[in-house]
Amino acid sequence: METITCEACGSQNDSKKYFCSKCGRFLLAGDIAAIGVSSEAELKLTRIAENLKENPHTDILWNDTIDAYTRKVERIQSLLKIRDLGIESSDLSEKISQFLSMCRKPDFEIAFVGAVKAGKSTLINALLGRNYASTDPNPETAVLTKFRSSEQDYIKVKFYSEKEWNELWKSVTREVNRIVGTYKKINVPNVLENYLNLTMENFISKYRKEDRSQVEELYMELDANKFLQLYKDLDAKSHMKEWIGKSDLHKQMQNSEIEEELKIWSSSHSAVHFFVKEIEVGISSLSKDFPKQVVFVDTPGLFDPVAFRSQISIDYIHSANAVLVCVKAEDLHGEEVKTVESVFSFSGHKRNKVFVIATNWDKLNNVVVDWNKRYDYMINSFTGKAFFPTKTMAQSNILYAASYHYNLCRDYNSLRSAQKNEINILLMKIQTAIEDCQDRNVPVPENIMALADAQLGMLSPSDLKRMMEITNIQVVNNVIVTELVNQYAELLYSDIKNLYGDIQHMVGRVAGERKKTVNERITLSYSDMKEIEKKVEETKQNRDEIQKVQKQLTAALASLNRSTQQRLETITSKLG
Amino acid sequence: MKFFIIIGRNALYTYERDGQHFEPQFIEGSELFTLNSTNISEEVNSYMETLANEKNLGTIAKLEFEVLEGSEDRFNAAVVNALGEHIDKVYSLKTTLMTVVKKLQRDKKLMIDTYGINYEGHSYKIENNSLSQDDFDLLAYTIHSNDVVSLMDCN
Repeated sequence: METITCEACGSQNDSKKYFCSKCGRFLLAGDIAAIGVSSEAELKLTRIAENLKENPHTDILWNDTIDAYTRKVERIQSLLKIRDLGIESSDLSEKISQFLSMCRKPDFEIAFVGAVKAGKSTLINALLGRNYASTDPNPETAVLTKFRSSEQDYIKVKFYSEKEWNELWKSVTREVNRIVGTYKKINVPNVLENYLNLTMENFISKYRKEDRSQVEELYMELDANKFLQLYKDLDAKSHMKEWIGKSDLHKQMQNSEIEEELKIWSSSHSAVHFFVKEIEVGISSLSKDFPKQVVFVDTPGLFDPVAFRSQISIDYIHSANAVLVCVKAEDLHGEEVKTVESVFSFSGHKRNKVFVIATNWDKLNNVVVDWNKRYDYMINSFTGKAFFPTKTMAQSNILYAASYHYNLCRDYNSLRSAQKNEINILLMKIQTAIEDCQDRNVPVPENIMALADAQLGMLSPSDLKRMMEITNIQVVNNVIVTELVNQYAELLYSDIKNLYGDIQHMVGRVAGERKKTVNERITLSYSDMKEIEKKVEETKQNRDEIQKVQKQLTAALASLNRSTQQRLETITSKLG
Repeated sequence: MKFFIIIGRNALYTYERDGQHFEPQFIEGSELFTLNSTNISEEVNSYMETLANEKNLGTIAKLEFEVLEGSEDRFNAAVVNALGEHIDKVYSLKTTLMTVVKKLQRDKKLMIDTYGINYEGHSYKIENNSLSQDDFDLLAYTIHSNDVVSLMDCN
């Protein structure tokens, strides 16, 4: 191996290296003058070399290896900021930001995803051991909410900045213009303003007579309609200035006050929720085994009428360390299958950390027979290229849960009689299902069979315990604890390592491309005119070739989308 | 006894000042006294006690400080608040760095006009006669607390 001696510290380095492995000094400083580079270039090179040693670093105290990785990545980040280098890669910058935030704030985030009313909040309440998230039938969770263990109970509210709010509003405008804006209007300068300020009849009257019926139909179907209608009804506009751009709000409180406080900020029935970007809830009463770094993230959904808000959920799935997708066991429809499919597409290499939770198991007619059918169907549907890679993984990662009844049983002593009756109704349903199974010679799981002789009416503590057992919450909890929480440090470490590998690979590619371009330019600068013309012609041909391939790829992508859509429709029709 | 403190990133640099001459002070053998940002008040007290002890003052009551702010407003406020009645004067970072940058600009070879300076993890440049702050810049000229005290104007 050829070596080069560092002028500063005298240590020997591989001649291919640019910086001294011992003191970090730029090894080629002496050569700069020899090859006759300009004094400005010399200043830049030596300054970069010196400054890399001074590059600001946030100490990563929890792991020395990660600390070393971070130091390197921070330097790459600084290098990318040098405009003169001509390296622009938004993918790489995004990956670097993701990596650094993961190292500096090593939270292990478990995202709960699902369609509206899929039971995410009820499941989170069951797992946290108390009803913190609002589960009222009407105001669903409209804001991304994080729950974590803390020594003190608190709520931290983050609001949209003015820039983010403008982006959100732009995505609503785009949606409105895309649909109703395509029809010819009569004297309508701003579709969105009219949409917000006029009644539906008056809005439609602004269009040509022949278009009005279609516009009315689109008006009713418009995804953003719900958002805008609520925005109008709650007179949210008058509260906007109060909250947009406001700094984070941090409120310490008693554990019993969390539920009410959370409603104020997250319920879709409060005007302020429109301006809240994220809420963090610290809970003091969680089990001591629940590590402080593990965070449950209740997401508002992937198909929010406002694209900007959906993007927030999508970004969380991208960065989440594990995802629990909630689908309704009794009514597995298109949107839910689409949700599962989207989660897998956003989860990349973390498929083993995706769990599909069939909620509302307690709403199935026959909890044994119907669940068996649903379970088999889900395993078949969610195994394959776009889903779980193997059937075994699908079998272990698809679970059912009856969170609502679990929560009722947990709070049995403080329930009203109507609520206690709901537990009895489920018990009655289970006993009917057992009889039905026995008539049809269908095997009944032991824990369900144990309820065959339970007395309706006042439930004994042991029956209540059995009822809680069949809700499967304990199993879901065990999976989270054993598969995720207990291994969180290891999983986090492996996620960070994977991300570091991605960054290394991307840096290699970007630097390689840049080196190639620069070398070509240097070679070209020594060439005569004919060679330059030849090179220009080659570049043109390459560009044409790229455009051709691009067209082919677009066509292939469209065909893939079509076939995926067909598959989705097949799954949906079979489920329906 | 009077000292000059520079608020850095989660740390304090201490100097003993004689007119325009600043002598770095080593507290517990180190040029910087690190502060844990979660409990600044307690740590600043411990800093004053250590300093009083090392200078054989017997009590912190005899300590007096001139302070040069750092770049984090919250951190500055917490430190200044904790030093309380011991503070004689506070120098603004922006005004001080404006002077420092202008003095450095005289040496054209450093290309300060083009690339600015780095100080305590941020870069600073004079644009339209005002000082702008940005992320650390690998092309900027990096200065440290010792450079700042030697270049700043003190009354």
